[in-house]
Amino acid sequence: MVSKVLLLLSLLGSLWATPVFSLDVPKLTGPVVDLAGVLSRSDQAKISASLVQFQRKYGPQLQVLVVPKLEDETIESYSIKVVDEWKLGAKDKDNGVLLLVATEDHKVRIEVGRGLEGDLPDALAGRIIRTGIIPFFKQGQTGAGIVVGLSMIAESVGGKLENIPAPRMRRAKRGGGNLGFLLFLGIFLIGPTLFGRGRRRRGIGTALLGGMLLGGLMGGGRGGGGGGFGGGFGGGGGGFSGGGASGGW
Amino acid sequence: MRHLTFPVGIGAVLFFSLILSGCGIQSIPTALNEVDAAWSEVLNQYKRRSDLIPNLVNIVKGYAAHERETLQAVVEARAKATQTQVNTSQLTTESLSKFSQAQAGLGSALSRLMVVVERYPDLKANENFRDLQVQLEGTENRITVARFRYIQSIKDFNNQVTVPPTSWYNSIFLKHEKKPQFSVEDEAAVKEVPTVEF
Repeated sequence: MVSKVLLLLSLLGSLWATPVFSLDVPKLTGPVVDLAGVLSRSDQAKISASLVQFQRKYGPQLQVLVVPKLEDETIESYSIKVVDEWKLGAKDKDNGVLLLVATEDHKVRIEVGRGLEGDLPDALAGRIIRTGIIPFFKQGQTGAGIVVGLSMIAESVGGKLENIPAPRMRRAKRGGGNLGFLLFLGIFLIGPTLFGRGRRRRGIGTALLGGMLLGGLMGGGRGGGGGGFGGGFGGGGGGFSGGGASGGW
Repeated sequence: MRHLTFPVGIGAVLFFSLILSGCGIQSIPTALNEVDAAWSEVLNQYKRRSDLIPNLVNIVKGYAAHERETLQAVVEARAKATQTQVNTSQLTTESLSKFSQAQAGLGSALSRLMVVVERYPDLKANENFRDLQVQLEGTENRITVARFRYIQSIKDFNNQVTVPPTSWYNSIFLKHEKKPQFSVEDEAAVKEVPTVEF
C-alpha cells in the first residue's frame, strides 16, 4: 500500500518536473556562473574575486552568466527572466549589471539595472558590445571578451576592476601580432598616463589596461581560491526594467 | 480576571487580522496600485520611444533623403500615437485597444524604416546612427518588459476581484470591475513582418 502511494507520488513528481521548452534560470552560485565552460578555473576564481571586491568598494554588483544555448527564446527575454530572479544590485539602488553570453547562439547582452541606466545607457552598452566584446568573441577569445566587457562596464559605472586576469591573446602570427599588441599597449597605457586623470569617464581602454597590467604582474600566482561563495552569495533585491543592449557575432 | 482577558484580547486581534488580511481589505488596493504603477511604466516607455524618433528621422534623412514616404509614415504614426493617451482611470477595452493600435502602428512604421535603412551602408556605419539604433532596440525591449509586467499586474488584480474570498469583500464594499488585458489582435499587428525587396 505504502509503496503504491510512493510510486504514485513519484509519478506525479516526474510529471511536475517535465522539462519545459525554455531554459531555466540557473542558481546564482557566485559572480561568475559559467555553464558553457569557457573560462578556466583560475580565471573564474580571479574574475569572481575581482567582482566581489568591486562591489565592496564601489557598490554596483556585476555578474557574468555564460550559457551554451538559449532554447527557443530571445536573449532579451531570457536575460530579464534571469535578473528578475537573481535581483542583482542593492534594493534601494537597483545597481546590478548582468553580462550574459550564449556561446553557441553567438549572442551577448548587457542587462543594466534601473539605477545604472544613467551611467550605462543603452548606447554605451551597445558600444561596449560592438567595440570591446565582439572583436574578441569573433576570434574565439570568449574569456578575453568577457574580461574586456567587464572592465568597460566597471569603468562606465564609475569604478575599476582590480586583479582581473589579462585577456589572453592567442598568438596567430609572430611579430605582426606582437607589434600590434605593443602598439595597442602604447596607445592605451601611455596615453592616459601622460594626459593624467582628467574627467571621471576616460577612454574605455584605461580600466582594461590597468587590469591587464595587474593581471600580467600577478600571472605567477595562479590557481587556488576557487568557489567560496556557496553560502551567502546572492542579489540584493535590485530591479531591472529591460535596459541595456544586445549584440551578436 | 485580568490574566484571562489579556490572552483573549490577543486572540481576538489575531483572529480579526487573519480574517481581514485574507479578505482583500489590503490586497485589493495594493493590487490596484500595482496596476497603476505598471501602466505608468508602459506609458513611460512608449513615450521614451516617441522621444527618440525626431533624432532618428533627422539622421536617416541626411543619408536617405528619397525614402520620403517611409519617413513620413513614421512621423505621422508618431503624431497619432502621442495623441492617443489613456489614464488608468479610463482604462476600458476600447480605449486600451485604440492605444495599442496607435502604438503598434508606430512600431510597424519604425520597423519598416529600419528595413529600408539596410540599403544604406554609409548610414549603417555612422556611429550616431548605431547608437540610436541600439537605443531604439533598448526601448522596444523595455516596452516588452513593461507590457509583460502590466499584464501580470492586471492578472493579479483580476484574480483579486473575481476569485473568493477576496472577491466577496470586493463585491460588497469596493465594487471594482475587472480590468481589460492587452488583447491578442494588436499583438498580430506588432508582429506584422515588413516586406523586403532585393
